[in-house]
Amino acid sequence: MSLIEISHLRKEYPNITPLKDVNATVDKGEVISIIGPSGTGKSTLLRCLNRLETPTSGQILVDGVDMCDPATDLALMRRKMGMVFQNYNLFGHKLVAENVMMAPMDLLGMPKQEAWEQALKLLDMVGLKDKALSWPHELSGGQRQRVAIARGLAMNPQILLFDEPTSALDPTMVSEVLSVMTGLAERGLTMMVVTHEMRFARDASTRVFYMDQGEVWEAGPPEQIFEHPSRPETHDFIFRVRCWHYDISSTSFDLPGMLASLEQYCLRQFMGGRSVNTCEMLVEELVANHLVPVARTRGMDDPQLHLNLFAGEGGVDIALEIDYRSMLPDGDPLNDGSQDPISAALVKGLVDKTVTVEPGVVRYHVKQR
Amino acid sequence: MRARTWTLRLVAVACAVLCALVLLPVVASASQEPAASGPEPEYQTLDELTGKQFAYVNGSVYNQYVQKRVQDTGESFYASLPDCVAAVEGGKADAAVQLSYCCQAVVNRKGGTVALLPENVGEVEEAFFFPKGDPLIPKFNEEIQKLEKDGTIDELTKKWVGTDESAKTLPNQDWDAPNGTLKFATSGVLDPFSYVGANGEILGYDVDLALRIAKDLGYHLDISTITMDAIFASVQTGKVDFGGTLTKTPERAEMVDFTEKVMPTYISVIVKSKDGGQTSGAANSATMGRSFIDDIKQSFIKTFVQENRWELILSGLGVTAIISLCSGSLGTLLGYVFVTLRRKGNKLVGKLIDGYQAIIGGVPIVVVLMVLYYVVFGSTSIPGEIVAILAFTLSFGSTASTTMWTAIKGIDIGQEESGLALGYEKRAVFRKIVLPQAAQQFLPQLISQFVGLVKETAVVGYIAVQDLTRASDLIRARTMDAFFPLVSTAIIYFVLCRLIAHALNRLADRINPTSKPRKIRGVK
Repeated sequence: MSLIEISHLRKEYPNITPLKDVNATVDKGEVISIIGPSGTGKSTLLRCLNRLETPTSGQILVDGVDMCDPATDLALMRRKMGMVFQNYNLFGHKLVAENVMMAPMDLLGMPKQEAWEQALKLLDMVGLKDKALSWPHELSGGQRQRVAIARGLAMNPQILLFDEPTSALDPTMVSEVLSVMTGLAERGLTMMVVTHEMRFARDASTRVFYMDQGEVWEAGPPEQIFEHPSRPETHDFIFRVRCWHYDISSTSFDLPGMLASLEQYCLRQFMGGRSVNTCEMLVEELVANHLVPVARTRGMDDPQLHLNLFAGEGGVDIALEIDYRSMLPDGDPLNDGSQDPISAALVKGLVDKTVTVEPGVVRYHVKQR
Repeated sequence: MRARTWTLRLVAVACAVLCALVLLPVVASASQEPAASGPEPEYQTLDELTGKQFAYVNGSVYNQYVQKRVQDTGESFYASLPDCVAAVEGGKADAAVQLSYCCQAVVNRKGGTVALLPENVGEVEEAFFFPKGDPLIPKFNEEIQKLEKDGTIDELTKKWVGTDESAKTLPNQDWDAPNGTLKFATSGVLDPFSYVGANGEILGYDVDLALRIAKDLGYHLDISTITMDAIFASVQTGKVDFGGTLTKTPERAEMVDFTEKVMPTYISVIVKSKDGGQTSGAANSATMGRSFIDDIKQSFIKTFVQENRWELILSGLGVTAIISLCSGSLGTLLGYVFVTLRRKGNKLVGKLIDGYQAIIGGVPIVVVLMVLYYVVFGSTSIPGEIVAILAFTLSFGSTASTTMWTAIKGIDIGQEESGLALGYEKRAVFRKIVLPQAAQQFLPQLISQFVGLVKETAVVGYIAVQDLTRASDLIRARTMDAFFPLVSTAIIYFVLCRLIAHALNRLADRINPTSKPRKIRGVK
């Protein structure tokens, strides 16, 4: 018997139906990554599993117990399934160690000394033994999330649910949490992880659920999902995740925000620091220092600019595509020689070749160093 | 610890400032020596007061009499006669109006700053009053006529208007009372008719006369004092059996039935004396200093020592503290009950609580107090203290519940979810995870709201409860000293509030987990 059996699970809200018809099973020892576009019910599915949400219809069996049966002791069932949240949700009025000790003492009747020793062991496992007597607010995001994982493990659950555990983290802190999670996966803990970290999904999970439109669209081992997706939606998603996309629709757009998002993407693709710099410089020179000022002098308040950055495996074959078709009617600003000569020379030095895909869409292939 | 010393230091500084405030008015009048002969009034006739500002006591009807005699007068109303006189002394009003015996008593005590206007405003009749149609009225009238004929009324007048304080005692109620006990309410601030004397005993002409009538009719009297503006309400609603005495007017006679007049009297006017406000000659600084200290000493003795008035203050303080603490803790409990009801999520219950809070929050507490006392519990004999505790509990419960609920709502939903996800029951999540964190937010606010409550209780005098403010009013009415008792009361309130706030803040500190040392007890 599988540990978790989900059949025809449906969840409706008055104006949206995040889960239409979900069917899936999870066996003991599996590490499931749930990927997919935003708003397709990934988190809702996880929250239905431990009944933080009440499903509209369908059945969830956990360890053979019907989670939707009103007679089921939910509190008791939840003790078998830990959950790690996007926002950590550590208890602010308890020390780090107390956060880990609390539930086993209150709910399992564990003696204080034993709970303390277990907490130290778990905190040691997530690398935070020396923070046992800190307050949660004194820790960084990544540290807090690791404590949250330790807290979830303290109840010795049969399965640990992760709801986008790294989405609220600074990019520099993602890896410390991921490495703890990878370690747990290697130890054979059953896990279900909703994530946008494709590397984790590909390398650490035994199976990947691709969710779209309220259903598990495609499920299979990571090689299948990432290398040979059988459905076009999966393919598109995998492709889009590998590509950075940014839309500018105002001359007063958020430049620092755009650069930060670009940098975050580049780091996730494991690009080298130089390549990251090159990409940032290209975007700055072409968009912030040329196209947008031109739009401003032309009196356009809302130029529609679309930026795409593609990167091959391991951060090679990087290409930046700029779609500035909305500016064409008043002349082609990238080909009419209006660009500042120094800036133009700088761009030329950064790219291998420039391809005009169609009028108003130019692709720059970044020089590899 | 540092916070504690700071608080104490702050209290000390504030005390000093308040003391300075007490002294200022005293300094201003420090070297006023009582005039050897009777003070000469600034004005001689009512006509001279045309267009001037008159000061009356709250609930007084004498403005109607004055309007008939003097043109274009301005009117202002004060809590008591001493306040009116203080207004005259301070130049805020030109004349203070009250029954002539009361005015005489004030002028005697003030020693020169104010004087009686030689011309009076007119004759009025003072009488006891009963609820409409009360069968006791004819009996009272018979008694009053009898006492008038046999000279008792004259004798009483001489006794209470006279200067022999030792004669001013009341008969012991040692007679048989086959007809039971009557509740009698009097103002307590109209020396010599009704005032609070030594050891808090309610004395005066009115009380003496009422006792004599009661004796002849076979009753005992249960005597209490109520603020002037609330006496009518308490008689009308039957909270007390009769009240008095007050001036008969046609308007008042529509609401209550008066007895025959018990004493003919006049309305008099107090004005500044000719040299009032002027210092007597160029006193040198040494004598200034001495008389200043003497003045303080005198005021202190008058306010606290004479007639054991400190007992009045002390019992008032006790009443204030008991009402505050009871309604503070019960109100917090009520607020918690509201929060619990709200958490159940029933929309109707939520709306009901909203409505309750809107009503309580939108009505002045003194009105709530009076409605409860005179209307809701009008026909019962529940003591005013209990009604006061109830009213302030209802009021504080409303604010406390808002404060707590806001803080609880402010706790991130994620806290609750992660508690549930660990396997806690809903109730345990609230008790162990949400409430302790919310408490860190709402406790300081709740404490300052509680201190506000202590000050708010100063209105309980309206329902015959003798708290600290009322005690100071009674003393002021007797000593005719407007400032010293007032500022002393302010200091007592301030110290009381600071002590309570200090104690509660320490308690809150102890409860606050983040102020604990980083240590987990009971583990190796």
